[in-house]
Amino acid sequence: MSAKSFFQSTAFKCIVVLLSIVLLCSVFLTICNALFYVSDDERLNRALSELYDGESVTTELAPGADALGNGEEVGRAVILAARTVTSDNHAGDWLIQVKGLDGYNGGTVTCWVVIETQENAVAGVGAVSISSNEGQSYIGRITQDFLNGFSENFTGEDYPDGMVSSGASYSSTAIRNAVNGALDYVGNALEESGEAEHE
Amino acid sequence: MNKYKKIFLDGVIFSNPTFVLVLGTCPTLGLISSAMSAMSMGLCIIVILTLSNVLISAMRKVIPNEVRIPCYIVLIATLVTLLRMVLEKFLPDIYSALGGFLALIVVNCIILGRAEAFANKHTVPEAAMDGLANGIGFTLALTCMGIVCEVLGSGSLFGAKLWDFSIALFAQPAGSFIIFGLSIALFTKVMDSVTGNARSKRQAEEARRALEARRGTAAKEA
Amino acid sequence: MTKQAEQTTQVAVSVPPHIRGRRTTRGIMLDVAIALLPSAVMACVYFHLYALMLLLVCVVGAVATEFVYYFIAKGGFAKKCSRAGEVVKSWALQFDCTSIVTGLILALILPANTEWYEALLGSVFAIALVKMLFGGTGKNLVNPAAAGRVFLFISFSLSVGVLLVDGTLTTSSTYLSGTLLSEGALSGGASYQETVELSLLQLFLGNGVATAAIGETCKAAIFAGYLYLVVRKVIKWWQPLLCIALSGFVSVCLAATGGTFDITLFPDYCLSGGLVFGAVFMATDYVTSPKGTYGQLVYYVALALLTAILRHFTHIEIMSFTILLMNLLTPLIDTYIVRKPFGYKREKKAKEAVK
Repeated sequence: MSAKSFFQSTAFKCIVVLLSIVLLCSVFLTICNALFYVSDDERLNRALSELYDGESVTTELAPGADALGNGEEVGRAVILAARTVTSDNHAGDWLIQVKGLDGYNGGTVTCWVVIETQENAVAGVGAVSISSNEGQSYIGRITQDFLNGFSENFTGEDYPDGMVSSGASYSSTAIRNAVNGALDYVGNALEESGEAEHE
Repeated sequence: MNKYKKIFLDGVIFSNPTFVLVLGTCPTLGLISSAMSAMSMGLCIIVILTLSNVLISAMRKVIPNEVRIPCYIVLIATLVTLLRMVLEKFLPDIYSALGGFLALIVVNCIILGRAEAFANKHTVPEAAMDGLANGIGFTLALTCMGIVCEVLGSGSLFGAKLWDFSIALFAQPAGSFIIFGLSIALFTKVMDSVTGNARSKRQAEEARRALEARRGTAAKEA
Repeated sequence: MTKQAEQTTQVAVSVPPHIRGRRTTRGIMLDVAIALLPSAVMACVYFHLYALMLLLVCVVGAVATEFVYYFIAKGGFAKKCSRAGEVVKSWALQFDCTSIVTGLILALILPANTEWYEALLGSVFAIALVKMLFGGTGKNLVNPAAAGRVFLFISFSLSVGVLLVDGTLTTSSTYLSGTLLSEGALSGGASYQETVELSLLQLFLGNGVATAAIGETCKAAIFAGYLYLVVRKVIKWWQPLLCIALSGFVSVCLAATGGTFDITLFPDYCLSGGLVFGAVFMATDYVTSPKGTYGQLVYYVALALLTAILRHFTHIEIMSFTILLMNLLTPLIDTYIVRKPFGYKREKKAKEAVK
């Protein structure tokens, strides 16, 4: 086939059309991605409004949180971010973004956990909200009652194995691991800062 | 106008994509355990279907027949990605309610089916109307089934709890399957009786007119 | 010539078979109902009013559902109920007692703390969705009672063992039927008597045992029903026995993986749970089991294996689920295990006959 007949054939036309459509769409999507980008700050604000029911709360990075890097493993959870509340309402609360392991199908659940502190000691668990998950098909079965149960049943110890939301036992395990991990992390951080103060 | 009305009625009722064509059953079965997510999926499908029909109809002269499927898929995937970005930015609740089914819209049979069957043979306004009609038909079907499944399976309606009694089977895909099948049966029965009535009425009307015409000519001849 | 043409001979035209036996569906179903009576009576003895309520609700619900479905489907409501009387009469004429039997079986595999509306929903589901929607008697895909039980299990979580103590029902999660054995103690090789203080006689007769079904307590009654059915030639004698024995044996083997191989556990495994009831009454249903002998062999062996394996790994009343699974496999078995056509003689014998 000569070059000229190739350029006139349908094969060439097909390739050109397909490639140009792909190119145009990619350029369009790139522009849209930049337009509609959801920054980390915005995600944090969304999580805050969900945890505090729309109250406006300001936060800052918790002491020692820049050492977290890609996540610090505590028990069966990975701490991704830690912030402390600086506004007058809910002062002393720690906001921990933690990924709980042992979920359904070996997946994980990432939650935001509010740890209430008083006089440099852990005093309770506030709201728990689910921010994302990996492979949890039954995440929809996690009821708000189950998530509220963490703040209602706070004993100071780790939450026991029996605490599950029926129909989603593995996802509940991951969430429970996340909350326990957050509790341990905040407890350790407060102890260390308490020791540092005493020194 | 009559042409558009016919397209609209076909899409919503007579060729309803869920009950008559039985297309796009994957989101149907996965999402009708909650009425809110069913309606959200329906609204997303309306948007995507209309836009994709318009685009494909506008480009029907340009795209050669041999590469039409890859081109359609690229266009539909672009639209779905755009929808995902918009939802994540402005409506994150719907985004997390739909979960993985949002990305599955790309391979939803309704969109590619209408593109193949209608959009690449008709003009842009007609294709837009068809997309809108099929989307509305899909949304209505899904919302009705979602309401039934949610009331039976969780005792709530659009999230608001009605009563404590619930039959847990209908909160699961197995129950969705059962409700889907029963809905198709009910829809077919209703359609048959409605169109059957219309057809027999029309036949009776025609017979009457023919009889009067014959009487008229007989009277004239007499 | 005309006279010959006028002499018409009376010829009866009918569809084969031209010779019929005496058995009718109604007769067979009545036999099964009679075989179920001992279990029903013992259930009432152990659970008093709760069992009676369940039996009544299920049977009445099943018959009523069949009637309502038939009435609607045959146009009882058409033309402003003008044909209602005819439809009712035609229903009464074609009523084979299959729905009574379905209602009885469903009632007997429910636990005693089932509410009346749950039982009613179960029988409506079993008859309307599983039997009538598919075409009525003889056309159901799966056993309606097993499907109803599974529906109730999924929807209302009825798996806990129930015991009637001093007039009140107490739930006792240590006495789940079939789970007694996988509670860890027995799979380690310890004996029944030590861990749960139940003698074999108690298991057989059913007093003092908490089970997940009212009809499965007294195995003696089920055995009496089995004998009656065999004598009346409703079921073949080897079908339930093969299923029960093989399942017990495989369960013992599986339990041996945790400890020692203890053959004295064999009667324990055979007699606990819904195995006996399911094998005698539900797995032998004509419609949902294969038709040829080899096919039936495959069916019962597979059923026994599946029950034993699933019982070992899950801790719930598994018999209804495994019966459903095997019912779904029955058309496959029927397709591939071709049975002898009616009137077929093997060629060897035909050649001998020719000689």
